[in-house]
Amino acid sequence: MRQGIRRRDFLKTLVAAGIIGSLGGVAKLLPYRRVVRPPGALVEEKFLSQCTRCGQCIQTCVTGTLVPCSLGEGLLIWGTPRVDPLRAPCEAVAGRCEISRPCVENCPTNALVYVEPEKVKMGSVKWIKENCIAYRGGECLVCYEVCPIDGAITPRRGIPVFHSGKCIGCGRCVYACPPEPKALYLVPDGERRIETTR
Amino acid sequence: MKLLDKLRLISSSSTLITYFTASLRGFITGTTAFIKGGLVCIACPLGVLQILAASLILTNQLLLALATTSLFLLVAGRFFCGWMCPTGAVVHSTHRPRGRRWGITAPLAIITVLVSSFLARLPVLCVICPVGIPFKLVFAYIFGIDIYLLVLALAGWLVLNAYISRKGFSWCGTLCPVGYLLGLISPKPLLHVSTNANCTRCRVCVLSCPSNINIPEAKLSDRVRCTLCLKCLEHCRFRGVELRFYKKKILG
Repeated sequence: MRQGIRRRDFLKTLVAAGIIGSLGGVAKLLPYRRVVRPPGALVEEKFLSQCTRCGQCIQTCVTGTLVPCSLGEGLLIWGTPRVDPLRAPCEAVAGRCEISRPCVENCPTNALVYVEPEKVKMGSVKWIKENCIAYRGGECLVCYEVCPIDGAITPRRGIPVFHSGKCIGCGRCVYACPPEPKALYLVPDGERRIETTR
Repeated sequence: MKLLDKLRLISSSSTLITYFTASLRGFITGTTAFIKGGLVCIACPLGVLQILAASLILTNQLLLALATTSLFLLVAGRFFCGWMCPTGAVVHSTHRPRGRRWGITAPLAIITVLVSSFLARLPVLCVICPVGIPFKLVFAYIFGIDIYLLVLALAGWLVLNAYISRKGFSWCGTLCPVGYLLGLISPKPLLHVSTNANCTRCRVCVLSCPSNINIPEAKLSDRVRCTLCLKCLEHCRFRGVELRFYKKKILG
């Protein structure tokens, strides 16, 4: 029986450590889907490097819109928060979270930072007209009624028109959209992310 | 199964159940990387180091949590590893003493984790952390997301443990980077194992130790690996090993 480390074992494990370490580095090249992040998220690269996947934001979210990303969205973003408008909308603008945001306040690593409500833009909404009640001739403008932003959704002859430049991606319209399957879904297109941590 | 191992399984599963109920009720938030309950927060030291390696950022909240964690560690050391960590309970209770050939590789494991975190700009181990997986399973259950990755990673860690325990060591004692870092923060905590005058230097305790610690002549660098699993107490036939709190004997 021997105590201590033999040189051969040490070298073997050193090589193993190097290989595994660089494998971890290669993990960066794995593909992942772009998802809608909570308001005030850093740019994706910085966000992924600072998020510990601890779940504070998800558990403290007032509305319950934040969910952890699943494996299908990519190994690299597994467990990181995303906005799921099917569960609830995000109320960072014209809602309960304008002034104090639990997700931001509880983030231990500043992967989420506070931004003023007028600067929040998480993404935009996409319209599937085949599913839309109004497009098929019904009476429905629920998305227009719940939208907190002036001019993001405008009705034209009873049919909603979506302006992705003004849409902030809060998901209220998606949450409220009555048909099944829904005529609206949220995408991170046009999102405004934070470059530096203050 | 030995009494100590039964107790270990009971204590670690009650840790998990406490975490589960407290999470459901909203008393605590977060997983092992950063747990917050009211004003008290604790953080995984390796998680903090990984964030530091990946993004070169250290926040006040992390430092505060690290201070609280260190306070716990200075009192109880790696009590967490031996008695609270669910993975640790499985590893310790399946451990059997065998011949030993392996070197001590936990410092290398820490370096591996930090290097890959730096290269990937990502807290690599946090995603598949052996310590965090049982807690994350609870978290995944509450939020209803897929657990394939967690189950796969946990199986991977246990297979790795089965491989290295053929050489007589456990994952926790010799390779776990999280546990080793906990030990590094407080090599000789208030709660620790020590030999007394009854010790005959028969070295049964050394053979039974999953962390390969030379208990009768333990140096500080060996004590880092002690998970307070108390297998040495269990195997000693002369009541020569005891568990001490500061200088007072409490067990053995």
